[in-house]
Amino acid sequence: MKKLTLIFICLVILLKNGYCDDVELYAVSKADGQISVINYYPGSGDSLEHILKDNNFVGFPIKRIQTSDLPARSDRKYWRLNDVPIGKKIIVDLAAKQADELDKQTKEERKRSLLKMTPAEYTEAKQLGLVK
Amino acid sequence: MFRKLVILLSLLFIGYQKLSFSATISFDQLSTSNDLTAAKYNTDLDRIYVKINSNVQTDNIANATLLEVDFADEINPRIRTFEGASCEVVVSGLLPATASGSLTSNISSGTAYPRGYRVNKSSTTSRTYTASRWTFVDIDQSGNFTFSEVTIDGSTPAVAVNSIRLARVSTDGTQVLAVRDLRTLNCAAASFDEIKVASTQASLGDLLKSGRIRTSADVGWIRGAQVSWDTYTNFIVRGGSSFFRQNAQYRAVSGDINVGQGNDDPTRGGSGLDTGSIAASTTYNIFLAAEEEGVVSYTVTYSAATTPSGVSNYRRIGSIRTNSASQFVSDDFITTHDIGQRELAGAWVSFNGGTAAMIPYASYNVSSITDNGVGDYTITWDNDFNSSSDYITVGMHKRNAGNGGYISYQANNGAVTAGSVRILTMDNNGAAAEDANPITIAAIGERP
Repeated sequence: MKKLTLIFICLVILLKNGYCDDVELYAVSKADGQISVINYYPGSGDSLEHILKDNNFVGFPIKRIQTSDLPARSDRKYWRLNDVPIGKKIIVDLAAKQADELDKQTKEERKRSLLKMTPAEYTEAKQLGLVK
Repeated sequence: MFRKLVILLSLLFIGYQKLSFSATISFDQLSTSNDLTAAKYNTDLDRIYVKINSNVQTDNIANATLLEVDFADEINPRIRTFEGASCEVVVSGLLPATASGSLTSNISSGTAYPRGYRVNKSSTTSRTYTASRWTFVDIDQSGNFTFSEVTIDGSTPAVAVNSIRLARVSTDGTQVLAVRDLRTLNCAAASFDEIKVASTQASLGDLLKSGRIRTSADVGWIRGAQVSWDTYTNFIVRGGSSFFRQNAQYRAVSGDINVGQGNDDPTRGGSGLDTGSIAASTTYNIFLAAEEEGVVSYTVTYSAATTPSGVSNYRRIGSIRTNSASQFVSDDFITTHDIGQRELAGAWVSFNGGTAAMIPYASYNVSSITDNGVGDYTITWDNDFNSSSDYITVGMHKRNAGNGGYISYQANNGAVTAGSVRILTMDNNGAAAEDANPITIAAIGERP
């Protein structure tokens, strides 16, 4: 009985493909490297080709993906198509993310410097809405 | 000799008795006296003759002896049933013909049932019509034709006494120009007022004659007949059906009626402006008209007045407006009995803009949502609108933190097309787009 239960659980895990019947996901990589994710509803009158045309995506690389391929939403700005056919089909562009964070940090420091505040004073000013 | 006479008379007596009628005819007994003379013989025979030829009653007819084949067609129930004469109907023929170059034409042979009498005209009937007239042709229960003349476009005369109507013959100065068939050819349908489930319930006529629809001023059945803009000089009334309360008629048109800026001709099937010429910056009321006789269809008349000129049987269905150049404008027409596309949402959707798979909470006419980035979405309509300028988009969203914020079109060109709209859900400062949940979008406008 235990063996049967174990086999059943394994089958469920193996056969679950992550696709939702209500929506099909397609990732389109645009010229600037940014990607758009099309949530396409099967059964609608529009074909996928018609939707690509409506979104001006004709000619761009496109891949069918699963929800499990999507990284965290907080990294949305840095989603990129994974050219390597291993792992998730959408990856986070860490270099771009780090560059943005460094840039943001630099700007914050410069702002504080211009306002001639100590770091603690700057933090308090932000909390009070005196600076953005 | 005498014995021969007695035998002859006896034989005659027996023979006449066999023919029918012993209960009615009485006969003096023959006697052996000398009262049998030629005169008495003739008198008795005459009495038998008179009895047989008058006062024949059901008592004189043996039960179940009359055969159907012996009945004349005029009284034969089989013939009547076969010809479908459950009403006053023309079974065949009896239609006047047109005649090129002549005011004389024939009425064809045929059969009809005016007042339930079977009338059969076995040959054609010639008639010379008065020039430049409408002549209404009827036939009575005796098979006589009646010809009632009126001026062209005059009022329809009543059907002649004990008659049914056959046709309206139109003549010009020299010939029989046209014949309008006004025969009743079918008894299959009953009056709507007679059709009901039970005597205590409303009839079909009650259902079709009662009640108004939306802002329609008239009561009774109407379906289809929506007003639709076509071009600057033409609009369309879609096919439909309607009840006209003035003449209590039902009319129907299967296809679209194109209506231009010329004048109407309702008695001859022409649609258009009721009187005068088209004017600028004017709202026109649009009417269906049932003026033409002997047809199933209606025409369309429009008027700057609340009632159309020259039309007695009409029903208002909407309005259309002209601009300063006397052209019909597409953004100002109304159908009173139906909801137009401009009054309904053509598409809408509610969804979570921050999830991996954006399955709508609910939607109508949406085929996809494209996630273009944080707070940046493209919604694609399943059935497109006519063009990007033929619909508007409205929306709201709930920020993940704090109040405020708004939805706007994405700034790039092509944010709005006939088939999609790209939106941004902005924070309360308008500084940056952010994900939101839920996001609700609706589009209102015209689709093909």
